[in-house]
Amino acid sequence: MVSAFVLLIIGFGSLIGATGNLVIKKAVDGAEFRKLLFSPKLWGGMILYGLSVLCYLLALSREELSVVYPLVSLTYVWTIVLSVKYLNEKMNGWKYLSLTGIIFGIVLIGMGS
Amino acid sequence: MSDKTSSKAIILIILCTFFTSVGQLLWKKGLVSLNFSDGLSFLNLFIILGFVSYGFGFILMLLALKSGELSVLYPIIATSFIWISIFSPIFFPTDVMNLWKWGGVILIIISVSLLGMSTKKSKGAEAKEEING
Repeated sequence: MVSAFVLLIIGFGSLIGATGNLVIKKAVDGAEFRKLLFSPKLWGGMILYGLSVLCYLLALSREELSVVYPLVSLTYVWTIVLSVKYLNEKMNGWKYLSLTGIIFGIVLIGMGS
Repeated sequence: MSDKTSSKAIILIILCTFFTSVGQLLWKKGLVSLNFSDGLSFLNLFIILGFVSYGFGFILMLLALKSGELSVLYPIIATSFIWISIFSPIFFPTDVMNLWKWGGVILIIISVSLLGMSTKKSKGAEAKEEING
């Protein structure tokens, strides 16, 4: 069974990564490609991404790759929640189904590990 | 206009899943041989190569997302879960797959693909968008 520490660090890391996604999305929306290099939002998003990679590596040093890698799909769940809350994206049946499926998938992998 | 995703975007995203998967294997390899008493050992060759491979995959993904639809690209990205499940046990003998884990992986792949589908607009909405420019 996956340790509570690994679950916690993946939960936290994937939330940071999803926040990075959100910030990068806000940076690239309607922006000119050349100006992106100087966008504080883009760099902020990248730093969040970097932090989530560090969490990932910490988890990976303690648990098998075939367990840690699929657990990171939790990022998709956070991304759905954050983009509905902060980007005014609409929730729909597909998203509910997807969210539920990913969480069940994670539970199955936890049970098998 | 049922399919706006170019074959270029599809090739880019397939290459992206290759490089991100290779990056995972390199990271794991580097972390397995890590000596925690030596702080500098964190920067071993495998981990650095893992960052290069992962970073390359990330750039390819950004390029693909620029010119492709999520409904097509997400299911392809999700295949990386299959590659990891197959190759991790081959390279790391302590890593073993079982029915629970395969079940979870398949459920996650289907769910991520569904998430891509959720971005597909109805024909009416697409036509309206074209009119509005």
